[in-house]
Amino acid sequence: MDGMTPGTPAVLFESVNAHFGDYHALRDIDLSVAQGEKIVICGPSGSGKSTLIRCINHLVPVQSGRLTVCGITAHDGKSAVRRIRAQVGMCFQHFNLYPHLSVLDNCTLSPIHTNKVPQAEARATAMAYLDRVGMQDQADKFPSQLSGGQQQRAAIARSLCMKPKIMLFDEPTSALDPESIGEVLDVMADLTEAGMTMLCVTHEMGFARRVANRIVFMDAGQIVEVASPEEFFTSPQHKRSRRFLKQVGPR
Amino acid sequence: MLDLWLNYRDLWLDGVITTASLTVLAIFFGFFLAIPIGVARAKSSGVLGWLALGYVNLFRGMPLLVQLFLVYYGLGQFNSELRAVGLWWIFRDAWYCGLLALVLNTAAYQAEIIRGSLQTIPASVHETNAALNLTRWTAFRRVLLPIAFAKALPAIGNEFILLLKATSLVAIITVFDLMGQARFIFSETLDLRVY
Repeated sequence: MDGMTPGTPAVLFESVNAHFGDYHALRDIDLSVAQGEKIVICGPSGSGKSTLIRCINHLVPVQSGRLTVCGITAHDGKSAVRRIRAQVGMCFQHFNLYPHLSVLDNCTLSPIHTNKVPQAEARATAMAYLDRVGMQDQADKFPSQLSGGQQQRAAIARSLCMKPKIMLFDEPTSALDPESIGEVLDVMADLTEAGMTMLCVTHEMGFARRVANRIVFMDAGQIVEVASPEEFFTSPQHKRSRRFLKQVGPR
Repeated sequence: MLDLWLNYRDLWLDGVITTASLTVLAIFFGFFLAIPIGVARAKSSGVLGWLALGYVNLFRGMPLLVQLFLVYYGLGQFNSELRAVGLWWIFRDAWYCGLLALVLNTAAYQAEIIRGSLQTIPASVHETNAALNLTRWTAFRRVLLPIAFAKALPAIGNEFILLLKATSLVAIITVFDLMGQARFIFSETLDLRVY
């Protein structure tokens, strides 16, 4: 059953492990994300943050443990991965807009061909979301004609066009200049108000403090600490988190 | 010099048209033949991949002249069988034979260009296709093929130039392309300036 009943968690990790060859990228991850919850995942590079969220829509295969997304696990038959991906939108560090398609065509490609939405309706939906991210005037431009911040906002609109229940952000602002970071974070904060479930890998601690319900701190493939932003930034429990926060600095 | 041109102008123009049409048509039909072969080379590790590899090695490894001979003289031996299946019109006419050999040959080269373009598409594109839940067909038709084609275009331009020059071989199987006309005019005039 793809529809979630109100009580079920949006994402549930139960001792999940992921390996890349010999490299043990995720070790016994246990995490439950409630519907509508905003999670910020932080940690040093190589700690498994990206791998953690990429598992959710099966861009990275899980070797052991149980991962349930919107009540579906990957073991639920052949189409399970596709059904999970239908519920999950994702934004990448480097935006990954299709270079040969205009912004509008980027947004309508999957709705039209995957979800079989009529073209006119897909375009109307896309324009509505582009309007929401402030990109309605750029709909006919190609990605190469846009700034990084504009591309990332277009990519967010493209994900939203699939009407996901969960949004994943994999360092959405780390390839951007400071000004663009602000405009992208504003769009993301706007989404949080709409009640979307969000998991976000970011180094923007100010954003984390502002919108996150919980912060997940990872190191060496393990979850070290899960805490509210208040607790995490004022009194981190683990010395690894304290060291990380000292290095990230007061932002 | 000018007299050679003026006296045989119609033949020269005829040769240019034959050369140009053979090249353009061979690139065009060769491209469509190359797509499935290139895709099989890039994507299939099974029987299709082996067949495609065999095709590419065969047609890139054999001199084009031999391929022309095989089509024109070789397949021409099967006169009665070809008549029976209604394909004699191709093998009766040297121009069609030349075109067929050129198509088969350039398809092998273009297939390798397409394979290379498909294989150099970055992993991020495949991830995006997965994240957007595209079906395999949509991802191939709407994303991978257009991106691969844009990458392949310069190399196909190169192949066009090489093929243009390679068409001169069809003169050997009696097609009057530019080279064939030059040979004919030389035989009339014994004037080496024709070349």
